[in-house]
Amino acid sequence: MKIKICGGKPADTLYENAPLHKAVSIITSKRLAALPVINEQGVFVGIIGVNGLLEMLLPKAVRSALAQNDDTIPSLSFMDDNMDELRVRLASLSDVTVGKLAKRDVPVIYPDSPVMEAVLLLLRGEDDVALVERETRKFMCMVSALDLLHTLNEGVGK
Amino acid sequence: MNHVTSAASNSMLWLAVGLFVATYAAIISEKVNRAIVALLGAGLMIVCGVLNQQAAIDGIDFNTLGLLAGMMIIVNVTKRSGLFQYVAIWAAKRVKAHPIGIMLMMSLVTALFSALLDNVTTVLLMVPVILLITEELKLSPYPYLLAAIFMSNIGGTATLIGDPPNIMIGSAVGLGFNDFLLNLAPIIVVIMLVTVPLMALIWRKQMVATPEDRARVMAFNEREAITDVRLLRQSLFVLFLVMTAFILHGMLHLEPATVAMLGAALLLLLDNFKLDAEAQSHKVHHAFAEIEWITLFFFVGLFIAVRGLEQVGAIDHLAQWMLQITKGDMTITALTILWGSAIASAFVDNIPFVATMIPLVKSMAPAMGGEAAIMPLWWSLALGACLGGNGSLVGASANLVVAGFAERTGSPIRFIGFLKVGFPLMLLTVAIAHVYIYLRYL
Repeated sequence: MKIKICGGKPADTLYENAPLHKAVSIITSKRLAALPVINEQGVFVGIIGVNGLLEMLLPKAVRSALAQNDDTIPSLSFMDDNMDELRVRLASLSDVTVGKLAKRDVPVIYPDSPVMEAVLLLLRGEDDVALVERETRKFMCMVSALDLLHTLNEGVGK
Repeated sequence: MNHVTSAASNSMLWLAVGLFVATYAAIISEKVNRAIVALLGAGLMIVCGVLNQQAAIDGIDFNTLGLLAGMMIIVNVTKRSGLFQYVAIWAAKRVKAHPIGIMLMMSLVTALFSALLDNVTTVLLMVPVILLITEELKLSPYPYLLAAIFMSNIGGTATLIGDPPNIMIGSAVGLGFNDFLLNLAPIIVVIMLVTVPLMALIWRKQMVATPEDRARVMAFNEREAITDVRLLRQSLFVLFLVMTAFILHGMLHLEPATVAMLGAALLLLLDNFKLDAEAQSHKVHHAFAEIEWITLFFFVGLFIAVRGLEQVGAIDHLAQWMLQITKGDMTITALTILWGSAIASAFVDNIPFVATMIPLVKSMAPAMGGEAAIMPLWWSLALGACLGGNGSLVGASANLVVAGFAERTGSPIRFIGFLKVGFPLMLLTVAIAHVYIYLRYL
């Protein structure tokens, strides 16, 4: 990667055995799209994102259909729910470990990846993309579309 | 010279049998996708000189393929309207979301859909809604999923279009929608009257829900499940026309494949009417992409492989052998076919089994009084092959589709667990069919 993306400030990370409520708390308070999940050696494990958290509120059958890219249930507008019920459902997940719900098969970028690869992954995916060391897969930072645009814009006119 | 010709044809017979057995074994092993195996088997029949290309193409039953493809398109377009969710939710609410009532209604709806659509499509449409409702009721989905499997296989037996073996038999023998309806639907109703209450009895202790959870299901608004009212009207109109044409096909002189394909074309026309060229391409591409090409190419390969067996006379030899065993007695032959088909279909795919049995049964006709006289054999084959699918988890494609859903949602269906319920239930249904065949036809 030709452009320096990671800033000086250390990125927020979560260990895989952290409880889910901690992820919800950080994501909502810092308004992040996604948080990286790492193991004790600092190796990147996966991502826990806003979409993943919201998906946990859906009925299992719908989650399964979503995972299969299946449109068998085209709409849920027939369901009757209320905010209290959904809050209870979210609260019931609060002690589940982050590692259990983290999305693990996510694409990552490396320090020597082309910028175009980062752009493509950001456009394809729903969450930010993790930048990791190529050999060790140690987590370095998260790259968001905004970070990338900001970094590119800083270089304009130089 | 004759000796040389005989030796050559003998070696060709064994070559064809060897290729067919290898194809069959590879299909059963499930190591390689069944469509690939069937097409390879068919290709080798041609390459090895058992068949030439023209004979192979002549072996393909385009009536079966056309009927399957046409119905797949109609269902794929119709499902976008939300019709199937509407019916399932409506059914659950009619019984006040009572768990046992839901089991009965879902069984009825699954059997009905399965009689009109193919079994895999039926469970693909029903299972997500069943899972959703059981989750809301905080019930184990297991009994409901098993009931969906059993009813899809039982309901599909009732009509020409309900299960691929029936489509194949209907096409090969020239039997129409009404023939299946009049000969198989009555016994399927009896089988359902016995099996559905039995399932409710077996699992009654698991089927208890709180009034609060039932109220949540009762609050579902089934009208909201309809996502496209215009498409719903169009789909119902086309489904009505297609079913009417199936029933009147004798008067209309139209083959089932023609009816299904025309229905599919009409529904696509209505769905794409007034759209620009790009939007039409997108929608038509989507409708065609959802056709189960694996199933269709599996059929193509199988038809060719079976034609290879016919060409070398292997089917005639097999028919003669079977006639020797049964001594040409209609009762023994029909009941052997019924039970043999059921047991075989419980463990191997009933499509290749029926594809092999069709020319075999046809070959027996001259020795058993002609084509009209062997009708009991066709009904025995249809009942055995379709009902046998309930015997084990690998007995029918629909079983594996439901098992896949169950696995993904954390309620796995295991082979032995299924066998413990499915096999006795299959034996019971075939025993009922046995009595029916005996009393009505023998």
